[in-house]
Amino acid sequence: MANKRYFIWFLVLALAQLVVLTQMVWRWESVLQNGEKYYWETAPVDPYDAMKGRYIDLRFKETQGTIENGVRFSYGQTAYAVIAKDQDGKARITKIVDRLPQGPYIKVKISYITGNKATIKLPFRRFYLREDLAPAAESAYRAAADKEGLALIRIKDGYGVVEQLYIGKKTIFEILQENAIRK
Amino acid sequence: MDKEAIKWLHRQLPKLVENQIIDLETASRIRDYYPLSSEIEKKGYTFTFGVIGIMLVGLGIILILAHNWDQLARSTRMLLSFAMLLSAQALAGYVVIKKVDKITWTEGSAIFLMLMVGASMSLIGQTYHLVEDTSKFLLTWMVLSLPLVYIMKSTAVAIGYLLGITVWVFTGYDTAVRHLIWILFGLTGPYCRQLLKDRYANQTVLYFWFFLVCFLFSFGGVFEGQIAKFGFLIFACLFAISYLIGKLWFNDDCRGWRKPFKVFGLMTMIGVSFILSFRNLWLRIAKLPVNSIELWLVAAVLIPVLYLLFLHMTKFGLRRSLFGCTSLVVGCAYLLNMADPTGVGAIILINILFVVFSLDVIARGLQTHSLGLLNLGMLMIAAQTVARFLDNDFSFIMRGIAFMGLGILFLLANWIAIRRREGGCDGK
Repeated sequence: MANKRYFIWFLVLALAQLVVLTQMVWRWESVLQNGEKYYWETAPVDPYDAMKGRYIDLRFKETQGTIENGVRFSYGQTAYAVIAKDQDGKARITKIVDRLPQGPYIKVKISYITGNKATIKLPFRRFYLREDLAPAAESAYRAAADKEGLALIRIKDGYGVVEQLYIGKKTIFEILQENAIRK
Repeated sequence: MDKEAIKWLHRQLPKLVENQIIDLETASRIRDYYPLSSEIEKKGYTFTFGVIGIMLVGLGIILILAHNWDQLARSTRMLLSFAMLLSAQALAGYVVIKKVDKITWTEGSAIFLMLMVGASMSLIGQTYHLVEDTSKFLLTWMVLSLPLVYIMKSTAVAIGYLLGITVWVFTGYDTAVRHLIWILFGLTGPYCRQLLKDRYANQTVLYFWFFLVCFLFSFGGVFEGQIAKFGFLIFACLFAISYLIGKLWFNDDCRGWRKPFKVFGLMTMIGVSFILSFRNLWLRIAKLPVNSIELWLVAAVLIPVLYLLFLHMTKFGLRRSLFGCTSLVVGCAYLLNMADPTGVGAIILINILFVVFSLDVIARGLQTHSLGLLNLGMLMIAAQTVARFLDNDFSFIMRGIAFMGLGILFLLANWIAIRRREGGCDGK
């Protein structure tokens, strides 16, 4: 009898675990499928995450915006970066606000404030790669990131997912393939 | 019960059954109630290695996934993620319904499920290149794992949960949110109560060792930036609380490591007294400003210390309550340091405390013929002497004489202890 009661509770827990996992997949898959495309200029380095493997740590050029209405933000506070595209189609932060804005935006964390400008931490700062590819990708990317490195980000409802990394017009995987053939 | 007595009892059981004093079933129940130490050890090894083995398998799976198999399509990765979770759930579910009494199975499958919840979430994060803050990831993982502690009565998951929530404290941005840790600790309360039914069992002891370490780290993490001037006093009080709880309620005649509250409190109190015996530290403390939160914290930890000390003195008397008074002595040293910011008064008081500590440990070592305790006391004296040389500019001759004196004292004390021990054996 006791076993049965525990088993029912176990089923409830198992269901809750599955629901959380499904909700995670659902949210990010929806961003990737239906999110608007933005190209963000980058500059990367290559670290290691014990739980998730190797990735390129993306650094972006566009990480600063003007604070609207003199709102006083503190370190680590959640804010919203209102975004737009410039004439080249690259992502630009138009302003930083503390309330949910109209139009496209990204949910961010405040890094630091200088005057009426806020530097933010973007939520998409990693690009995971196969562990043996990451160092080569990083060195290929490091050489070009400041000049022509771009990350294609899908954005929806304040969430962003990195879809692809580009050096010029080629994806990082195409560059790696070319390098492998040359060797 | 004494090991020899248990062996004797086991030898007597067949005779008692034969002479129809007790029946077979009663004999079997007595055997279960007083198992031979070899049987307990065997159970302990099976449990430990079983859980470690399954943990290694789980961690291995996480590492293999971390390779990031880019040959796999996104949908395959998601399937893999759900398959891992479902298979771990199926195993745990089978154990819940069928083998709930076998501890290695329950602990092993529960910790495996906990690891697979984390692995599945990580795989999703890897697939969608999520940075998702570690804080949220850990909190979700721990909250989804905690019920296993109750449903499967798993100490391994409870320990994993303690470690997880402690790391969580250090990962968040928002300092106010960190206070959620008290609720997260509180959620393990009912399980602690269950464990306390057998307070010297391996699982209980292991759990409380982790609990003490995690609690102190969490306390430090939550009040990081708020504790400055009175930090040492607050921690000395927490250590004293641990020691006094250990002395009052967890002090039966068994090995030291089975008494986590007492041993942890004692070792940390010795550590904090040693650190506070340096003058430079008191000079720095004197310059730090006082903030109101710290004063509230001092009051909050001092009240339970005084209450427990009162209970301790009532039970054991004033002389045996010496160690419990450490935090009060540290408090007095703080008062002295406020009156005399040069730190001289404070270090004299703390040094006296440390010498008393050391002598008490040596005396206990001699009384109980324990070479371990005796040498611990001697090491404490030696450490303090070395530390004082760092504090003050003594000549090489003085240092040499002091070290020789200490060495001779070491040899003499050990020789006396060995002689006494041998004498005791002869007497027997």
